[in-house]
Amino acid sequence: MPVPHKNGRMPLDHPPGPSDEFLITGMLGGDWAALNKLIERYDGLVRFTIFRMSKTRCLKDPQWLESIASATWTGFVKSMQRGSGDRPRSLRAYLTAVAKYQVASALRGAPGPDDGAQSIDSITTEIASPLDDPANTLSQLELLEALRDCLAQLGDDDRTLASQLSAITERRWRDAAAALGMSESTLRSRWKRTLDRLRECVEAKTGLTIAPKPSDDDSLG
Amino acid sequence: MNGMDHLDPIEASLAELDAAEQAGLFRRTRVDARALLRSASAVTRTRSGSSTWRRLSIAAVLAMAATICGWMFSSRSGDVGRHSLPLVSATASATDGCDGTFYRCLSGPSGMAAGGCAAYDYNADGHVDLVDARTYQLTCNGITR
Repeated sequence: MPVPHKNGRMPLDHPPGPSDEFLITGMLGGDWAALNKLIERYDGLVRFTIFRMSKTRCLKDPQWLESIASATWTGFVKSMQRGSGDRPRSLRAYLTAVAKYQVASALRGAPGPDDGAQSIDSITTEIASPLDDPANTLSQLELLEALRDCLAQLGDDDRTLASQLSAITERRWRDAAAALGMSESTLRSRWKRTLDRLRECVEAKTGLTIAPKPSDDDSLG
Repeated sequence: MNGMDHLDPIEASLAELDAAEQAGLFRRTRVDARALLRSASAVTRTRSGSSTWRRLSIAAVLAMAATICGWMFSSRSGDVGRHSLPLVSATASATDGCDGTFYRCLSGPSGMAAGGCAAYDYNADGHVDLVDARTYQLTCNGITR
């Protein structure tokens, strides 16, 4: 359930500025600035959808995400131009579906029909899943973006700990502590404080409540 | 340990963020909007043009086949000189008559171009025949359309 931001705006409210419908109309009239505005508005969602759907591939091939995102925007423009006035009810849902379709086509190793320019209805019903709706995707993207900002605000000491993230999340406390030149118990307690600081920062930015996981033997300090 | 179930939600998000940074999630997709709009509309036009071409080609082949059969039938019966297909009164011009009317005007080499069909007698030999059909296709599909 999306939670209002501190500024009162819901995460899924339309961003300020011209409506999607207005921008699509402009784009179809040849206004490339309108297309740029749509890209600026939804590129994060497109890229995050691709990332979540094909994380392994994204990590293996640094160009993967870029090329699928580019194909998504191309497919979107072609679909709109062929749509004869047919407009998606929700652009974010439609773009999510196009991105998923492009990932599926690329993973199958074959281009889709008409290079991905499918009809709006077929692509939305074929791929969009109620379990993985764009609202959820956006909330998660927002969380990651907030966490990224918060991480950048951490002090040097906390960021040094984060450099051992892999070892820590795999609960190789001894390895991480040795790499950082501190005792295991010091690492555990400092890491717990770092997480608390991040949690507080993310909650302030997003309005979400992120409850800490109850500690167990192998967990935090 | 498998998965991220054992992690604190913030730790899980940090792990996700780390992967996202490696994958380049936070970069912006490089799209040349101006070029994309230009090329996509060109593709749309080409597709629409080639489907029109396909439809007209099929119509042309069918009409020509019917005409040739008609001519053969006429020749066998010795009824040379009669139009094998009914002539229609069509108003056509070399540039505006690209609506398929041409195929109803085909009279064959022994027939006479009459009425509105004379506009399709591009080589002015008095007949609307296969020579004119070629010109018609060039005019309607290759040049003016």
